[in-house]
Amino acid sequence: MRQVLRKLAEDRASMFGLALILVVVLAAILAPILSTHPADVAEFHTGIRLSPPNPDNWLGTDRMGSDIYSRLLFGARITLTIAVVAILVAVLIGVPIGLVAGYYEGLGSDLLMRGSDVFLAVPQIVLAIAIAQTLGPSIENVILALSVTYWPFWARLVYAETRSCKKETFVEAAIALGCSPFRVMVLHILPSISSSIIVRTTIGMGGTILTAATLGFLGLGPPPPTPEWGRTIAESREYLPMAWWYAAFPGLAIFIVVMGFNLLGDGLRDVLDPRLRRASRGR
Amino acid sequence: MSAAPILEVRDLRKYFPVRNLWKRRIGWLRALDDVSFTVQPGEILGIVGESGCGKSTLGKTLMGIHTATAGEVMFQGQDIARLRPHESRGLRQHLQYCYQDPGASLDPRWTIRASLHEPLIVHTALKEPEREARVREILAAVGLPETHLDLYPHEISGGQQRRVGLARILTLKPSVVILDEPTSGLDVSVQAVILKLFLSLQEQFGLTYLFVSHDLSVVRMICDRVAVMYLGRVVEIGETSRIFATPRHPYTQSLLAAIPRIGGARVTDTFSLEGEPPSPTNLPSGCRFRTRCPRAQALCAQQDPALRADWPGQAAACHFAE
Repeated sequence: MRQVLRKLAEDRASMFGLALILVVVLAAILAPILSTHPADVAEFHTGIRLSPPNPDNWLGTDRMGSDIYSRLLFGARITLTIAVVAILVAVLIGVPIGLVAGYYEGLGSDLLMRGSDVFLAVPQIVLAIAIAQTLGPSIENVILALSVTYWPFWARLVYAETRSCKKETFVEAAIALGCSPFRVMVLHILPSISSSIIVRTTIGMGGTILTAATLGFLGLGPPPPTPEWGRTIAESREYLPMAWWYAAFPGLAIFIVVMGFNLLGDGLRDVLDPRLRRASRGR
Repeated sequence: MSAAPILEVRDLRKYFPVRNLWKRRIGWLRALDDVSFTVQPGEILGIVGESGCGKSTLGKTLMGIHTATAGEVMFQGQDIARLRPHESRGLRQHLQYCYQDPGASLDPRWTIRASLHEPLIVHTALKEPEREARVREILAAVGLPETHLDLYPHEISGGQQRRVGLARILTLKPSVVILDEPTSGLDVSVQAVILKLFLSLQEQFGLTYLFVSHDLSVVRMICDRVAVMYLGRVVEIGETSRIFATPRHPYTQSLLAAIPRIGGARVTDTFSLEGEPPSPTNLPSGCRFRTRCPRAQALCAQQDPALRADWPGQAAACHFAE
């Protein structure tokens, strides 16, 4: 483990990604301290609406005259909460299903995997939109929509990894020794496939944040005045290209988080999953 | 045969389905076909044969890693061939399987200590200090220093991994251990050390071994009895000295002729078998050895010979063995 961290620390790209993530996480945690107009999440000052970046409103103001910089900081909280909780739920659903389906053979595991295929057959964003639309706009529903659409990725991954891991001699030996299936799955198989789960989860964070922003953009995210980034960009459309800062800074924020997770995910994959690294080098 | 056998195998069959592209079954691979033998407590029964003759399948079927297609395996008065995995778990304590490569049977992410504790956690209710004591006792028995407990499998040598693999099995104090090719891939000097270890452990723990190997010289050295397998069937079984002195089955005869000897004739000159064994998915009629047998006659194509115990301490499945 220490070795893995050291290797990761040597990789500049993933360290840069980690730095980006840390910046956003800190921004989210310290939002009330860092923001210049913490009240502007809900308050508006129509007198200064759509003012360009200036010493008082660092990143300009939106159509209500609220400070975009402050709203972005609070928006980071929403984005990260949605992404982390949604992914956590998706992992908690997908990993056990993949483990069980991969460990056992037969009708039951086929059914589980065909079930996850159904979710994969529909484009993720369409399914997420349909669910979010049906349930109504709120943070909880976005989380629900995202986790329902994303769990099959983990189920698939864990299924395939479990299948191949089960053929390893040490797993067979553990079974022959008389270990219970639960023990074999949780103590032997899960630790040896954990690295691919970690990699998939890190890279998945980026995608989930994008999808969450898209839902917000389409008006399916948390309702106003929540400073959700996707929604802010959607609002800005009417004032483009004049009020460029209105769309540019939330867009930049989304770009930074997604970029951060993708860079870190790539770095982790290189360190944890040598097979994939070789494939990408040959490219 | 004396006393009650500790392990009795009756007409054990293991067929693997052969499927085509559409997963339709198009035939059976007969890995084990009516295998019968008994094992006496305290003896070492060697199981020899070419690659692919079903030696490993036999071991794994006895262990319940594969479920038997038909037949009985009587162990401690109970038929274990039919048991589902969770039902046989208790019996596993007494019947253990040692992998061809015991190093690979250790979880690479676990320390040696964790791997050695595991069987005890699974099968006993011992407390941690008691387990640790047992682990240290076994570790000493297989000749490893206690300092190795905190190492990972990749940090020790192949021979030491084997010892750990063996120790892991012995922590449960089993009565029968199936050794699958325990000496393959080892230096001759390490082989000798490992074999000595097997013998001393047998004495110390009163073990019965099923010794699966293709190395005839090793089998001759340590086994009390030998079963020779050919294409999923036992073709000859008997006391080691008798089999090696007077092999009855033509297959055994050609196998023994193939043992290289210093100063002896070249193996290629004396080896009487020609060609490859037929595919176990498509066996010849009658005796399955007849396609390569120097003594095959018309009868062999019609009738499958059964094991005949016509000699003292020896039985062979051949119409014309004398």
